[in-house]
Amino acid sequence: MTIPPPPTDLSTLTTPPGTTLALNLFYQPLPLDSYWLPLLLPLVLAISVVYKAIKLEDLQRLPRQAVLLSAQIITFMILAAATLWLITEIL
Amino acid sequence: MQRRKKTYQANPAAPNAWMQSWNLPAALMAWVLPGLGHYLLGEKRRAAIIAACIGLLWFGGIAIGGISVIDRKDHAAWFVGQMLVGPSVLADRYHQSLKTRYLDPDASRYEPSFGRMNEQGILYTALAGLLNLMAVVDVVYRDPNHRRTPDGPAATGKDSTGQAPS
Repeated sequence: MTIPPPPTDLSTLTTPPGTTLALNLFYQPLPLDSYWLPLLLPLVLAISVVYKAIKLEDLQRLPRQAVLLSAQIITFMILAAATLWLITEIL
Repeated sequence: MQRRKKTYQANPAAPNAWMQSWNLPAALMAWVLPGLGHYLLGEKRRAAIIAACIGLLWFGGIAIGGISVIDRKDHAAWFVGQMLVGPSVLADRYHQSLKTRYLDPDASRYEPSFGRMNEQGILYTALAGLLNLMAVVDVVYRDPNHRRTPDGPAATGKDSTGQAPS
């Protein structure tokens, strides 16, 4: 008798077979382990929109200002990640 | 020569007397439901944007990591941020009740999350709370009777204190 190899994708173990995603929404985590990095993008956008919605008096400028702030945050996050990577590589 | 220290004395008759009144009931409502505080102050469009964004962040965090991301006992430090959105307190109470029922996995759909999804869910909900804190503070100090035009106070012919320039 051969022993089956251990599962490599642990996300498949979170949802029992035969159950729908809608039934388990909010009760179980979504199987998005491979996509965790892109999940930061809507987070940054929401932060920018809420911040500008509070700060701006004229909401007509909100879309442009929010996109600009999001781009700034993402750019500096990338720069910070690159700097830390360089430091770890050098050291 | 000694400098005379300037002191601020509140003057109820001053044009800026509104600064002395804090919108605490509206701020409390802003904590209970994100965006409600601004709605009560008449800022409907701003309220809708804040409610939609903070609501999506909060629900998105729970959807990503499951309700286990809100846990006062296991993640007390993160819960301090999460509870800045009022419904997080109810969500935690419900989660604690689910944890006791989880002892029988066949009877419960609940499953705790770990790893990246747990981290993302906690991050989403905690940031929703911190953004709501910013909204609550804005509601406290916002004057519902003061509207600045897009071009600034000069467009109305009055200065920042509401009086016509001499």
